[in-house]
Amino acid sequence: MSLRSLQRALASVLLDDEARRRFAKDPEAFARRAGLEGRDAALLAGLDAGDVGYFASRRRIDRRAALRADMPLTVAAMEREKAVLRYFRAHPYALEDPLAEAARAAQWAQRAAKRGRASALAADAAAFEAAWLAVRSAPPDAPRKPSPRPRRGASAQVLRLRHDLGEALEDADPAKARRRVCWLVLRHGPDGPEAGEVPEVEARLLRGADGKRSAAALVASVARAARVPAEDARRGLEGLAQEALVSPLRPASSPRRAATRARAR
Amino acid sequence: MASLRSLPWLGAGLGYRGAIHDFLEHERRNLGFLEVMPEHVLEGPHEGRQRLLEMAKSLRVVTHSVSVSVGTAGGADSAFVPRMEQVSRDLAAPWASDHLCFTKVDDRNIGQLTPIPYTNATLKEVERSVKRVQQAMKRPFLLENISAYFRYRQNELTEPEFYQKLVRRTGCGVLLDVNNLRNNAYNLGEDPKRYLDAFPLDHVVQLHLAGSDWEDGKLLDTHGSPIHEEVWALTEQVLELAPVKALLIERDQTFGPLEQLAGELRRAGKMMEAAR
Repeated sequence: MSLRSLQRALASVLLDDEARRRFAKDPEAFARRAGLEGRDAALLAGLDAGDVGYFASRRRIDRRAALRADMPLTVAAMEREKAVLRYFRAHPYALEDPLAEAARAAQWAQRAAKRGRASALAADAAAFEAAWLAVRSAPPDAPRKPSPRPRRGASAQVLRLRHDLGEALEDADPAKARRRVCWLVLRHGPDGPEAGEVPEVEARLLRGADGKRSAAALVASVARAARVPAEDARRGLEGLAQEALVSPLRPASSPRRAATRARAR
Repeated sequence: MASLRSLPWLGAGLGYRGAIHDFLEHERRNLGFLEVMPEHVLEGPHEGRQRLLEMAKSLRVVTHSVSVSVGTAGGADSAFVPRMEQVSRDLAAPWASDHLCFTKVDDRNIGQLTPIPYTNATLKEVERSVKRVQQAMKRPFLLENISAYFRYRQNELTEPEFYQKLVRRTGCGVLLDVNNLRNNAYNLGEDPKRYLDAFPLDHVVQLHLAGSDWEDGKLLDTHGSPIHEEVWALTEQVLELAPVKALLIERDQTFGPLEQLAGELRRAGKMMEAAR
């Protein structure tokens, strides 16, 4: 039991900035407050606060390896510009959930790219790899009932990237990325996670397919934003429905049909 | 269970990392074995896992994890150990290994290979823990010495003494990380040769060799640099004294240039052949 108490106290010193500060200030008092006595208190209090602090900071070495395992292209791109250390300085401790850590790294990369502290390629790689992790971890999209208000699959994510990452992702080699704006859709389909490029109109339709707007309103809005004929947007939406990327389309009820249905009840 | 002496001689190998899959394929004929992390098989991305398993089918494999946490008070991760055994069985690994340290407390993952105090009380805890792991594993279990960046001043035993007692009581094998010995020597003022002499070398089954980098005045086992000549020299000494079955070049931070890694693999292979 005492070894457990010692390890609990040490874990808090390693993982918690405030605990580490209190430990560095007065190791013996820290050990007492942690409920340690005798030899166990002496073992903890006898640790060099500087060495322990250094060890805690060293977490970034292991953290880099963990991040690389989940986001190989991102880390490769960020390492070229020494952005990994900048990310770690901005967020000294990893989140325990790898998905949350990946999402935070992607958000940081986006912000850093806007400020010129990371490349657009690093931001694109992070956006893709974080989204891929999330999609892979999500359950496969269940078939949806027909609806007049199209809704995309629960796992679907839409990305606008400034690079074609296809080959770069295969080899985790940033040099193989090509500058080109592309819209990607990722989802956990019936056969597993998948990612593919779609035309801008379809990407915008998917983004807007939140189950709140009617198909007609969505088509009109996307046609305006993408400056395409409404007919093109409508065909795009039908195509997405056929591919089960959005719920199957059902015509909206007219006031007369709704009234008839109400009388029948 | 096989005794340590009867384990197969594997030569020199590399750790599987998805980023160097093609390189590993290219170097296949120079690879005596592949070291696989069960965590990559159990939790890695599906595609990467398939590629790993495909390669592992045609190579000798040993498993090496970071999740057993034999040093945790109350025992190792009892949920992880059977999963590690399953992976080791599937890959026909002649042995499996982890580190002498703790990485978890109350299911909280520290995320680091954290040193344990070398006391007699801890020794009893770790002995119980290792024996339980051994019961769950159907193959020999090895423990690797870690790079320690702090130490307990009130230790009752040195690290080698702790290993001596632990292997005598449990019969577990040792995975000696020669680079970690050197790092500890520089960072904690220890003498690597004294370590070698004091370690239970008759229980050493496998070696790890890696590169280190200086950072903030400390020598870090970054696994991202070429192996230092001093580490090669220490390895020669170990090979003269220990019945080593496998020597692994560890690299998992930056891999390139890969010609350098290939050169280290060939050098390690020659050393193993010479010592056979």
